[in-house]
Amino acid sequence: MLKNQKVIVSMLIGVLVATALIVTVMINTGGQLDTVAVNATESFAQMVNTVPSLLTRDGNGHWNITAPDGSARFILGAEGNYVALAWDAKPFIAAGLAVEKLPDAYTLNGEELVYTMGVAGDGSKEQAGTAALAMQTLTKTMPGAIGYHIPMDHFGVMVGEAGMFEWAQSLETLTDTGEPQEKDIVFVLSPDALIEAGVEPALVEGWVYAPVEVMDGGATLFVEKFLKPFNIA
Amino acid sequence: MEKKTMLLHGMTCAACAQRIEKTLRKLPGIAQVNVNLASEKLFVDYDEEALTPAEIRDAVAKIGYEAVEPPIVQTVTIPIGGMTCAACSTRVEKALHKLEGVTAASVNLATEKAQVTYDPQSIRLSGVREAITKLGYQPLTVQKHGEADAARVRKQQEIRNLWMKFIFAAVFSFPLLYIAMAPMIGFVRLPFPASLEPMRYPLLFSLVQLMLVLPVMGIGYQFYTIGFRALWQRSPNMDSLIAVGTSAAFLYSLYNVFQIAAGHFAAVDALYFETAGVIITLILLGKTLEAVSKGRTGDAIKKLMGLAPKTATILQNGAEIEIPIEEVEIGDTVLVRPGGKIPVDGLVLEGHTAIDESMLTGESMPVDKHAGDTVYAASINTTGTVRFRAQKVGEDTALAQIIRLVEDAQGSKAPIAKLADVVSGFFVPVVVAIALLAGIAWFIGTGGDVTFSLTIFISVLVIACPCALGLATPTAIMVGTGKGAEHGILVKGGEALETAHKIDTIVLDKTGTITKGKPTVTDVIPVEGYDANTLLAMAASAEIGSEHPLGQAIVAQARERGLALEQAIAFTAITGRGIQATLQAQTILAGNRKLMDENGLSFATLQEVTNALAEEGKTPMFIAVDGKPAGIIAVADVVKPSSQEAIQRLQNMGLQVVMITGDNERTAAAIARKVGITHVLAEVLPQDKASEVKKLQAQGRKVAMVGDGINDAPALAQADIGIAIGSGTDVAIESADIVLMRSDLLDVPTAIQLSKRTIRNIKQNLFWAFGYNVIGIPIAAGVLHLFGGPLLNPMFAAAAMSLSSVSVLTNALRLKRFKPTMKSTKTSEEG
Repeated sequence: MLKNQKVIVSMLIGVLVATALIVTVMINTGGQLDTVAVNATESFAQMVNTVPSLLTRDGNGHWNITAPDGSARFILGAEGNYVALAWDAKPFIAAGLAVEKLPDAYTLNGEELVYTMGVAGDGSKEQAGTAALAMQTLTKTMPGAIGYHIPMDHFGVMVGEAGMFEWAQSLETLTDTGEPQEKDIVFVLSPDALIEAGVEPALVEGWVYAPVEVMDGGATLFVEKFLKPFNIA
Repeated sequence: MEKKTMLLHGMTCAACAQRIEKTLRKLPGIAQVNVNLASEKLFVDYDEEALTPAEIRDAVAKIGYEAVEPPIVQTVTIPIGGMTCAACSTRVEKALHKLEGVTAASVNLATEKAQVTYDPQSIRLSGVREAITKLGYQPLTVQKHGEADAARVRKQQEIRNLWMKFIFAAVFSFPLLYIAMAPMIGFVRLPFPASLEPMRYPLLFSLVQLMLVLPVMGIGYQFYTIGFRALWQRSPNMDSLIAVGTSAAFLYSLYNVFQIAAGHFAAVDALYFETAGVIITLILLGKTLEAVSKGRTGDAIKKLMGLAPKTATILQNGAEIEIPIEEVEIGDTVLVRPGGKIPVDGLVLEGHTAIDESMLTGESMPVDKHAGDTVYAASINTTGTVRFRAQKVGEDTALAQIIRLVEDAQGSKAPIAKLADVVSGFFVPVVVAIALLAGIAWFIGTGGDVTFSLTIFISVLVIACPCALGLATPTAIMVGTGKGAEHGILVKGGEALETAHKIDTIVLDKTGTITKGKPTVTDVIPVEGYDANTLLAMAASAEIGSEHPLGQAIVAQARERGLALEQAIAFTAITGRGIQATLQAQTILAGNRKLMDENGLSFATLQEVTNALAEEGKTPMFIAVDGKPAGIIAVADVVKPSSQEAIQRLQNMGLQVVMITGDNERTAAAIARKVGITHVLAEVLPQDKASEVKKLQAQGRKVAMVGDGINDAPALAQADIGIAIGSGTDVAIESADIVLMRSDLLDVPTAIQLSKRTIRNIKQNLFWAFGYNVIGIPIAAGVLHLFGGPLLNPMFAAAAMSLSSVSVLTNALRLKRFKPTMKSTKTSEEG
C-alpha cells in the first residue's frame, strides 16, 4: 500500500513538474505556440518600417516588397490569403527559357514572370490596415506557407512551386551568433520548372544558383535554388 | 564472532560495493566484510558484543543503500475446504489481503488452494488459518515453501518491474527519438507531421519532446535519487554518471526551449531530450538484461534448493501420513517408494534399493542401499521401497550443508578481484573529471561550441561502465562454483578457485584416495588337496568373528562368491599375529608368517608366491588347517578403477603427481607402478604428512593435497589447496578447500580444469571490462574526432555501456556449458 502511495505521489509530482514547465514556457510566449508566426509577423513589420521605401501598394491593394534593384517583387494580398512572386524574365529568357513551356501557374506579365498562390480577395483595394497585419493574417490563413530558415536566421513565405521570399529576423545581426546580418531579404526561385522550360542555370545573370538547406517532409535536404539576396539596412 | 548475511538494495555498480565495504570496515567490531555485487549480498563477520545488526544496517543506510536481513516472509499454500464458487475464493482472497502482515494472497478456486505470503513477525500462520475459518471455510494442512521460493519470487518481481519500466520508457522514447532524429536524416524521407516541423513549429517541436522525455525520466527516477545522493555524499556511482549526463542533456535542452520561446529558433538544433530519454531507456534495458543474467548465475544454488521434496511420508502407528518436510523430526520412520525423493538424511531400516545421488555427488550410477546404509535428502529412490530412520533434518542435511557451502563460496572474493576493486574505488570520480576536462577542452578548442562540448561531456559520463568491472569476478565465481556443485565438486571460495589453477604439484594420499581404502581379497592360492573355494570358505568361517579388516575382507569375499560358511565353535584373536578358530571338523590357524613360525608351520613351498605377492604390494594371509599348511589368501587395498586415468590426466596437465603413504616402500612402489606415479613418499607417519607437503612448498612448488582421512587433515590445511575426497571424514572436509562429493579421483583433474576455466573466464571478463572502458572513454572524449574520425553520439555510448555489462555476464554464463574433459590428452586438459 505504501509503495502504491509512493508511486502515485511520484506520478503527481511528475505531472506537476511537467505542467509547471509547460506553463512557464507558455507564459514566455504569451500563450502562443506558433512562435514562428508571431516572430515572422513582428520582424516583417520591423523590416518594412526600417526600409519603408521597399514597400508599395499596387492597384489591387496588394502589398509589394520590391528588390532594391527592381528585379523582383514579393506580393502579399491585403486580406492575407494571396501571395505572389514576380521577377524580371529577361535573364531567364536569355538563359534559354521558353515561357510557353512553363506550367500554367507561371504567367508572363509584360517583362515579368509572375507566380501566384491563393485567391486575391474581392475589393481588396478598399482593404484598410498594414502590410504587417496582412502578414499576420497570412500566418493564419496559410500557416504552411510560413517558415524559418535556421542557418540564415530568416523567416520566409513559400510561394507555391515558384520559390519563396525570405527576410531576416533582425536586419542587423544573426539572432543566435550576433554576427552581422548581410542578407536582409532574399528572393528565392525553385529552378525545377525553369530548367524544364529550357533555362541553363549557369547562364542566368543576376541570380546566384546555389544549394540551400530545406525541410522536406521532416527531412533536411540541400537543394539548388536561384537566389537574389539584398542587404537593405 | 558472529557471521551474518544481509541482502543489499540500491547498489548499481562496483563503486557502490566498494563504498559499503569501506564504510563497514570503519565500524568497531568488524572483522571481515565482503560485498558481492552480483548476488547483491553482504557477508559480514563481526563481534556481537561490539556491534549489532541494526548498527550495520544503519551504517549502510547512511550512505544511501539498504541492508536487510534475508527475507523472513514465508509463503504457504493452504488447501481450503468449503469453497463452492468464485465468490468464495474472492471473499477469502480479500479477507487475506486485509490481514496485517500478509503481503500477497491468491486463492485458486480450481485447486482450492490459497497461496499466502506473510511476515511471521506480524502475523502467525495460525492467524491466517483463523481468518479463513472465520469466513466459514476450512483451512487444511499447510504446505510451506522455503526461502528459495521467496527469493525467486522477489527476483522475478524485480525483473518484471524492470521490464515494465523499460517498456514504459521505450513507449515514450521511440517517438521521442523519431521526432528528434527524423528531420535530421537527409538520405531518406520519413513520414513526419507537418505540425512538428522544427523550422516551422520549433516550439511545438521542442515541447512535444519535453512532454515525451519527462515520463521517461520519471520512470528512471531512481537514477537521480540514488545518483545525486551518492554524488552529494562524495562517492559517486554509476547512477551518478547517468544522472549527471542525462540531467545535463535535459537542462541544456530545457534552456533551449526557453530560447525558442524567446525567438532564438536556432536553438531547435540544440535539443537533447532524446539523448536523455534514450540513455535512460537503454540503461533500463541493460539493467533488465543484467538482472536476468544475474539471476541465471545463481541457477545452480536455486537448483540445489529446489531439489528437496516438499513433503515426506512417515509411518505413525503403522499408518502412512504425508506431512510437510519441515515437520519431519529426527527418529521418524520415513517411507519412500520407487520414484520418490528422499526427504531427509537417514539410515535405512528396511528394504533394498538403488538410489540416484547424482544431484548431490554428480555420480550418474545409482548406488545400492541396504539396511544400515545412509540415504541423503534430495536423492531419488529408483527401484525398491525403503524405510529409513530420519537422522538429519532441516539445516543439518547434507543437501543443506552443500547449499551453505556453495552460498558461502559464491559470496567470497578471489584475490584476482582486488585490482577491479581498487579501480572501482576511484573509477567514477576519475570519469567525471575526464568528462569535465574533455568538455572544457573541446569548448575552448571549438571556440565556445556549447552543444559540441556538452555532447562530449555526456558521452564520456554515459559510456563509462563501472558495472562491468564489478561484475567480472563475482559472476564467474558464482557460475563456476555452482557448476562445480553440479558435478559434486564443492569449492569453498574464490580464493581456492584461483589458487587451484596455479598448482604445479599434487600430493595424493594412497589409502582411500588412490585405493579404495578397504582391503579386498586378490588371490586365493591353495596347496595341493584343497581348492580355492574350500580354502576361502574355511578361512572365512574362522574369521566370521574377527574385527580385523583383513579378516573381514576374507569373509566379504566368501559371501560374494556365495560360499556356505559355518559358525566357529571357538575363536581366539592373537594380537599382531592372526586368529585361531575351531570349526565343526577342523581347527584353523590364519595369520602372518610369524604366527605360522611360532606354530612350527613351514610354507617353504609357497615362498616364491609369497615374495611375488609382497612385490605387488599384497599382504599374504597364511592358512593352516589342523596343523598343516593349506594355502595363502592374499589381501590388498585395491586401486580404484578410475585412479590410473585420473593420474594420467593430472600428469598431462603438467602437474607433478606425488603419492604419500605410511606403507612400506615395497608396497607403496607396487601401487605407484600400477597407477603410473613415479614420485613416492613412503613410510610417512600420519603426523609427518603435513611436513612433507611443507618440504615441497619450500622448493617453491604450489601444492595441492588430496586425502580423505582424519590423519590427512593437517596436510590438507598445510597445502596451498586441500582437496578432501567425498567418502572422507568431516574433519578432512572441514580442513579442505575443495570437497569432492564422490570418491572418484577423476574429480580432481575436473576440479582443476574447472578452476582454470573459471579463472580464464574471470580474466576475459576483466579484460573486456577494462578494455571497454579504456577504449570507450577516449573515443567518447573525442580523441578520434581530433584526428578527423567520427564523434560518438551519447545514445550509442549508452547502448555500448549497457551492452558491456551484459557481455560480461554472458561470458560468465558460458561457464554453465562447462563439461569435464574425459579424454586423457594434453591439449584437451589445457583447453
